[in-house]
Amino acid sequence: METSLRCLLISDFNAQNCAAYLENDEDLPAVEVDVGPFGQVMQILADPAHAAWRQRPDVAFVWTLPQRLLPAFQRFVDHQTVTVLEILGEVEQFAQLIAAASEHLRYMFVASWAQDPGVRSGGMTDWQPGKGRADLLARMNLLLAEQLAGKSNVVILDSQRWTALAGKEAYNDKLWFQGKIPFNNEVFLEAVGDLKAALRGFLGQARKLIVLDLDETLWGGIVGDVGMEGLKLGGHDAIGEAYAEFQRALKTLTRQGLVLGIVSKNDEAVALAAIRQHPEMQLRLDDFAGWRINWDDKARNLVELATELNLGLQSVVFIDDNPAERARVREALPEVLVPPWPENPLLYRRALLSLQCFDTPSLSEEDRQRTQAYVSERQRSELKRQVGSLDDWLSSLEIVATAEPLGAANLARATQLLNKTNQMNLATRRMSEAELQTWGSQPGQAVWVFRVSDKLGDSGLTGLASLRVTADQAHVVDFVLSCRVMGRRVEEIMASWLVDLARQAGAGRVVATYLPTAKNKPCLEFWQRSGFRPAEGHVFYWETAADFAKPACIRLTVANLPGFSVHPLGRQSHRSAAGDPDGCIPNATANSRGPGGKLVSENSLHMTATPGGVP
Amino acid sequence: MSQTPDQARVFEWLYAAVDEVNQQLRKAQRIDKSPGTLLTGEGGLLDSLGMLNLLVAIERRLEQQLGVSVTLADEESLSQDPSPFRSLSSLAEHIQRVVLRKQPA
Repeated sequence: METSLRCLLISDFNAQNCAAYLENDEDLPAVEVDVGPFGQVMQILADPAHAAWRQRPDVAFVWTLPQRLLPAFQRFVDHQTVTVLEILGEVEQFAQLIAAASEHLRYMFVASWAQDPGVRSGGMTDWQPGKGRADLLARMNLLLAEQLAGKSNVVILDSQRWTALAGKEAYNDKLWFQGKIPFNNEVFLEAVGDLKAALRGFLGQARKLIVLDLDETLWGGIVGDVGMEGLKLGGHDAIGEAYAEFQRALKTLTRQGLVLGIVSKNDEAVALAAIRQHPEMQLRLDDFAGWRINWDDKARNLVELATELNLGLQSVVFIDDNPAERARVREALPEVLVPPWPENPLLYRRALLSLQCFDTPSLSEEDRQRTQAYVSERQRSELKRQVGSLDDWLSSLEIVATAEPLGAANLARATQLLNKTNQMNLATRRMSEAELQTWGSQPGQAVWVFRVSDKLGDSGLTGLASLRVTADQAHVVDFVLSCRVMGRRVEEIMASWLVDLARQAGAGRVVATYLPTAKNKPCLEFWQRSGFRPAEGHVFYWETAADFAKPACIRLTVANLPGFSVHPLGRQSHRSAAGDPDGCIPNATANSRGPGGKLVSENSLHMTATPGGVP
Repeated sequence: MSQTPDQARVFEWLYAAVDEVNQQLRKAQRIDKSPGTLLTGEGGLLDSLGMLNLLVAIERRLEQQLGVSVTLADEESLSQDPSPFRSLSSLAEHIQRVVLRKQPA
């Protein structure tokens, strides 16, 4: 897991306090901060050779005051003659500089522009279109966001939220006139919290699983004592309404890709009956990915639940009204986030929605369907209990794996998978969307993704493999599979795909080099039993003259991607409707072979080895 | 609402302000919460930004707790010798004097 980054803070005010809070913040990832020279925002952004970039930061955070950055906006504030177009023109220039500078960074953060809430700027005219300051700032922020929308590594952070939270204490004139520090520390602390949350989002470290207690957490009362009818939930009671709203907020989070679990000390049958039948429950059983409801230790139950869901403890948030239970889990499982929790249930919803641990840069369909995926998994497990052997069970699922080349439509999800997957990950490379796309378009290199579905549901894009061909060898660079579909022999389908591709590219051997981490031992175990021959240094190889047997229980198809073709050197382009003269016809649905074992009617990757290899 | 605080309360607010400033300092540079801690001058542990942060943090607390708006670093205090900002104890005494001056006659 990536734990430290270097950040350049670029500002037109004294940002030393912000830098200090950012560097001292103990939440991961750790950030080492350099502060750009005061008041040289445009100069630093415009010049990649500026001394401020000397330390080659991974990240930059640009935080400006609009009246200092944009001369036209200052004229507006001074009620001098200036048009909205002039001001927006300067915003556009600023956005262009941000976009250009972001090319040299992994991630770029830009603070939106905010009004000082303690100063009445226009009063009743503040929102007059084209005339009021609030209206103008909104237009400026919207334009900035629109201009940067296409940059996947640039994020605008909402500084209005930071100043609004601090209220009257947001701005400090004493600090400003004596030190050019506009804000009180409360504002900087909120900014650092949001920045760290966004970094964790980019790095695949967002929390995914919320584990909840039941009594006095999801509902008021103890169901074992008062029965379902005696619970405070919903209705016209303030407490009941607050619990119902808390559940609704949790349900909203599941639509953003989070999953819910229950760990509760209760009689399971009584608790499940309440979840199924209480008329005011906003969450039903199918909203939960799993549960452990018994009288055992909650820490042990939590570990079991996370294991069942194939999630690491660093993905988990634990919410419980009981401070003793929270303390127990905090002590026993330091990787689990156990946030401080209010005593008053009227404050539960706000406490949940103020957590800064769920940020992700994008939301895919797989994310939205994650809970349904777990429900389907429960059904698969039930099927497994009914069927005999593993292969019989897998065959009964009617698994289909679909291979498709990396492209614009799947880039976001592919990057998310690459950055979030730990266990079945050969090299554990972490890349931004732009980096992955660039890598995959280099001559001799290609990235493929795999979608997996079966008769019980669609697991979505859950596999990724990349190949680099040098001389007569094909190197497996990335081999990634979501834990959701591990152990269903999808690994073998991906390996066979890579062998076929390598053979087509003229490589005589496929080589996979395993790079160990604390979490990816399952990947080593796969390669050890795969049939690939082991060599020293965790290297595994396969001579492409031999087929790699595909498991009979999985049907492999290739995505039909109209308008897509692969040039001989691995460069991607659009083909005409007349067809692809290079012979790459991505229309096949069967894995058929012609003479010499060459794939025909598949989306064949014509790769040519580049002399000397590609770094 | 204004009232002259006793020394114990002043140190309570002073140390709370030190806690706030320490969050902005690297662990090795954080200052001890004891009366003898040197702030400025030879052996002083805070730079100009640190002193500004500390003084503003104290002034905010005085305003919140006593309802009185003070300026701890005015021309007079900056020119005093010995400096009232030399140590936490001298700063505590300075705070009491400044607040006392704000009391209605």
